[in-house]
Amino acid sequence: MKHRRWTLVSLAIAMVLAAVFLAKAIEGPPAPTALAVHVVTDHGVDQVTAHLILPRDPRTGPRKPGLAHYLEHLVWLGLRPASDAGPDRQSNAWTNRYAVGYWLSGPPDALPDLLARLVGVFDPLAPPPAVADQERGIVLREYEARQVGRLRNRINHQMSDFLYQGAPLADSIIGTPDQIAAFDLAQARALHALTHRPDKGRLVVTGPISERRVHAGLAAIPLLAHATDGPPGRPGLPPLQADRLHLSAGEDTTVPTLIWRKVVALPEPMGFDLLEARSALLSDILDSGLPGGLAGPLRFDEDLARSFHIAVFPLDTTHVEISLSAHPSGDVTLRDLERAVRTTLDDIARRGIPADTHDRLRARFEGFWPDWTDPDDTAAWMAAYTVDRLAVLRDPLPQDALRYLDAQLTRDGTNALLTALAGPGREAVAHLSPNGASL
Amino acid sequence: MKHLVSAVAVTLLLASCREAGPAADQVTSPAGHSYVHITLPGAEDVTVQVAWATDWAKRQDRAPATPYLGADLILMGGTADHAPGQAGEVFADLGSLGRLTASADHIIGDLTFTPDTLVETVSIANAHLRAPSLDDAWFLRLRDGLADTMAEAKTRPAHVAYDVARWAILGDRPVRRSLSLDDPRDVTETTREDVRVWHDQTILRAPEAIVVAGDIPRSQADAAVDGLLQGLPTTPGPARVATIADFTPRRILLHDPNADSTYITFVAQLPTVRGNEGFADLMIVDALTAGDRSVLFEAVRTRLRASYGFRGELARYGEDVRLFALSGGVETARLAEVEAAVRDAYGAFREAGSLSDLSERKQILADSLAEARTDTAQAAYGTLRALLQDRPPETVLTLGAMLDGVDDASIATRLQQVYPVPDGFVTIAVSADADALPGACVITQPAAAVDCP
Repeated sequence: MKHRRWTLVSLAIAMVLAAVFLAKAIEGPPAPTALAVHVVTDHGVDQVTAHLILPRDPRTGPRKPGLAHYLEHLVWLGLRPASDAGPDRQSNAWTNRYAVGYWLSGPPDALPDLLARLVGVFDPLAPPPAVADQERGIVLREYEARQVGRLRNRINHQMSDFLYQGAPLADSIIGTPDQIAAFDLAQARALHALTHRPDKGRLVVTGPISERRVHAGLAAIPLLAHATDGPPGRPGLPPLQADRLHLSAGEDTTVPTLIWRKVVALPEPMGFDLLEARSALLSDILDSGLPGGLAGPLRFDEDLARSFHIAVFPLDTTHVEISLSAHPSGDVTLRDLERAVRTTLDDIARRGIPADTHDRLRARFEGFWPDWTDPDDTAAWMAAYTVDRLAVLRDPLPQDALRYLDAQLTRDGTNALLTALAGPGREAVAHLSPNGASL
Repeated sequence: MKHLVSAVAVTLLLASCREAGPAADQVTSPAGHSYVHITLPGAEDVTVQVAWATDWAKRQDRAPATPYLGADLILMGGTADHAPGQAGEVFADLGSLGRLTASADHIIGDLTFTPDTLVETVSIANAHLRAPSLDDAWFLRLRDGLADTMAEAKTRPAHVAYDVARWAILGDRPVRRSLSLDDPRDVTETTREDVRVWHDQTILRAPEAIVVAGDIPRSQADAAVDGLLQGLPTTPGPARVATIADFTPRRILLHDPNADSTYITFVAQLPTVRGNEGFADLMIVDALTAGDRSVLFEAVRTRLRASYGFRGELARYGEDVRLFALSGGVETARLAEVEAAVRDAYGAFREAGSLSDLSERKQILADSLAEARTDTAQAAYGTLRALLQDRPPETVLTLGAMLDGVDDASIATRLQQVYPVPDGFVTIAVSADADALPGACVITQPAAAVDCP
């Protein structure tokens, strides 16, 4: 259970569609190349993993949802280890709402080869056109595997588009079947030229390897430094305009479901890591059956919701989203359930989280960070954290700064976040019912 | 604390325990419970696992969803001294984990905690096992949730394919109903009284197997076992009922005009593991499906370009029916090509009879075993599985030696003597195209698979 929250938070923030990645790291000095390098020495594992992370979207130009994911597929075709490589040589790639990542792993003595292969990501994209055409079919099969029968995914994309006011953050990672079918090699090449450049990349190397060996390995690789146009821009949100969207759907729904999402702007920006930890703690509190949680009023006392899931997570240093999905109990209507959710949250925010509840959830929260006195645990955690952070295009904090966050998780801070979430914001509500009507 | 991982992975762990000085002792508690005490030096947690025998899933006159609902309701539905839902909050405060899971032949109880919370954790668990309130509101909540989950699952072609496979292999027997829960009434008509009866007949003082794993002395292990089982009925548990299964090769296509995608699965039986065959099976299925250089990935994605990928599974329909499945979503118009490509690639692999990278695969497993040397949940589950299969209690402590014993000859023997010939699978497809698999028995309802030749 130790790192459960990191996984949940990462999922909530990044909605990573592709492979789950594992690693850990601390930031090192820049390599003598255009590529920013992070090395985490972790002697608790046997394999070295080299992870290259790039921004998903170019800073300018027309947006094509799903194209970055299609490009990721094409690039990975050239990255895979040789077919006769042993099972200890692995690779995969992923795309999320912010970034694209490629990774290779193998025994420590394979590091030079791993790095040489990985920087091949920057080579001009040159798959045979027929292969690029076929890859669209592969992406469609992936779409089917992930999306079929998942009305909620489609509704959530509509909600995101409204909540994020059309910002790139809202774009579908994989695209729709029509969008996928329209991709071609020329589009992929154009996107590759804009985003797959050393000066935009972050290399994370983790495992039983020294920083010196990583830089020595990189020194042997001639990296062409492109003219830089600054650090990768991360997709942000435009100034928030309070508004509300209501959706009803259900043509292929089997279970009545309420989805309620809201984005608010904080009065003042906050460090991303502190905001993320504070959000995770508030999620735990609201998810609990203790006073100050939602489970008591919604499930145990009034029996309004058969089940619910709630998450609070930052979108950047200013904007926070609260997201709830719930299935009503018995004859409870979606409208009544929505009303109860709003009323209950407002009531909790007005009263504040009780001290006893906050203390109990804070005590359970110790697994959010590693046991800082355990070097192996810390190294493993830092490696995963570093990749997680770079995967949302943010710099990881150094260990001493992370250790300081724990003391900042105060009840006042939690209540301030809850108050902000109960205040003005941009809301999207969806009622999914088998007959398509809003009950 | 770690959660249980898949049964396959679990059985492969713990080899390096040999070097850390662990021990497995078959002992008897002061209250007379025979159990296996696994000592894992350095382990922070303690895990107690118990397997209660049940024939509920094999009986015609029983509501099949009852064990699944009962397993959740016991711990969530409260007791005279604990309000419904309270145990979960207290366990969260303690850092303890408790749950029951249902399978065709057993109910597995799993309790993990730190030694300093042993008394409180065991006391709460015992109260719920001994005299659960089975709160009605919680029962309805769980029942509605299970009904919704099953209804939603049936919209996915992969889920439907496995339903069809169970109809073909298990026929219209109670165990199929229990494993599939494909008739909504099997869930919605279950009553709280069914759960009460099931509880009284199942959660008994003399389980089929008990294991304690952790770095605790015998006296504490005794206290955990006796405390957990005290006050339970002394009624003897049911004898194990054999699962009847028919893996005769067949090709079946379920035609669903509304299916948004096409899915195919190849299913075949494997014998129950007695020695180190579990390692061989894992490496074989891994070589077939895991990673981008696996046999089937090369065949259907890299070469044929007709699938995102195939996955392999080792599973059970009961303690005595073990199987493996190779499955994937495919391009509808190329279903027949995929079927042929999978058979050809599998056949060539089986014929070759070897893993060219056996030593690397063994090393990966050995590393996994080493990493899990203090994982009490996995040690307990591995031991419990061994006991249920009449294997020695120290089995999990000898996994390293078992792994060492896997060689080219044993892989070849396994592939050629146990794994089916390419045409030896029960092949199931679900598609919107009724003609996508020429020559297959085409059906429109899963139940019709019973009559497919």
